[in-house]
Amino acid sequence: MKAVVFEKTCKRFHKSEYFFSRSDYLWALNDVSFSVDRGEAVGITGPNGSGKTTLMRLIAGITRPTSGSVAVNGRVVPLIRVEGALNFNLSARENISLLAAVFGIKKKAVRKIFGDIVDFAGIRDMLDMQILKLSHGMISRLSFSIAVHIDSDILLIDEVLAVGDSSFQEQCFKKLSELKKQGKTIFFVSNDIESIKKACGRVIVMESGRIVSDGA
Amino acid sequence: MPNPFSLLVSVRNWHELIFAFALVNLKQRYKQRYLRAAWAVINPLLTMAVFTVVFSKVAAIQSEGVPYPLFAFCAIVPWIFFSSSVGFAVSCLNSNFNLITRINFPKITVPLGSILATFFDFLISSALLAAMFALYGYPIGINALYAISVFMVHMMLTVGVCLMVSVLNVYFRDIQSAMPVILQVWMLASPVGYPVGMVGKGLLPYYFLNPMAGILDGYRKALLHNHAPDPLSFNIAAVISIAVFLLGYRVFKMSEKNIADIITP
Repeated sequence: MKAVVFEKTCKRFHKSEYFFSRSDYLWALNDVSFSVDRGEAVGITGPNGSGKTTLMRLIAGITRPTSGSVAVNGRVVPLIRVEGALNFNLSARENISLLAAVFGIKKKAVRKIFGDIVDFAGIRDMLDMQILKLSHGMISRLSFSIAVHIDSDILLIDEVLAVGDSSFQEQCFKKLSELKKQGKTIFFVSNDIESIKKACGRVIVMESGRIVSDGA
Repeated sequence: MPNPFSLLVSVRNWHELIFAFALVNLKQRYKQRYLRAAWAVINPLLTMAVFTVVFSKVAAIQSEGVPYPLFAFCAIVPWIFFSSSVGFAVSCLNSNFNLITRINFPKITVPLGSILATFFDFLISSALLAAMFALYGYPIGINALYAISVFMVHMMLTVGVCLMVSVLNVYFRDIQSAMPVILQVWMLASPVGYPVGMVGKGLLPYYFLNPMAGILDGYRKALLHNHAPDPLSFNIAAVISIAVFLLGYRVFKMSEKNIADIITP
């Protein structure tokens, strides 16, 4: 069973900030084809601007391909710069309920995972503070913790692990291998080859919107 | 053409998120404001005070035999619900840029949550309107129930306009810049501070093309005069409001898929 199939997928963006103007396009993805089996852990790497995040955003359904197709089987939880999805005026508690609601999780189900999220992030003392008063590291811990505790079939992780301290990173890798054992499909985007090799059995290397190598 | 009933399905499936957005909006609105929800009352009261001085004292207009403050307040409360819904909705998608570009979820929950937050203010100010009736000892008759059908039309129009402006503002931020003056002109073109009876006969057919005219007059007929809404103006308002609702929903659905690619914070 395939979890994700890309077929001749292209994605372009307007270079202009005006939608209705004749402008050049930036081809963020150019004729990308690959497929990923359920339960696979895939690392994606490549220089800045090579299309890694666009690839993730297509899998997450945030954006649609300009041409070609993207097929996804299962529920995707994207952790794409997700700390940016938090609302800095709200407390950690409020952010957990808001993000869970955005992911379509019912309140009853949120109550079940709330304690786990809080403990994993280690923010029990700061639950009711506006998160703009928390440190950058604490905020990424919170966002990572929310995403991994939401029930998903496919998990997308984008550069998030670069920020936490080493004990939190250790905790994250432990959680990731646990999720892998549960049979979840994981995409892991990073520039850090070492951490990719640690977490993934397959590595896709991208360059200017194309896949240049795909293998173990 | 998207089926308009699919909107009800989205509301049912995503009501928790709509409520969550409404709550966030209210929190944002009350942030570091000591008067909090009191603003839902202060704004219409101040408008009423200004209108009473300008329209009743300075311009000395007649208010259908009703005490002017009550006459004005009957239209100010529904007008403010409409105008602040539209005023907040116009930038609501943009202010959720962070979520929209990071997570895939039904975008329609954003403007619906924004309207729901304003509806909360509307409930508070409606309670104040009821208190005004009591204060003036003004009688309310059985035909006040017509206000319910007026409200349904009012709501259709509000949702339709909000959906349209919120998504169009993703493509053209000009809408956001134009909105204050549009709402101001729209208010003056609606019977908020003055009665419909003051509008010249020759102008009336055009005047009633503004659905807010039939809606506000309908509220006054029902609540102040124990009378059914004027059939002509109210039916025009109903037809236009339903058309605006269908159009707004359609425009939103058509544009929804591109939002994440174009939106700016």
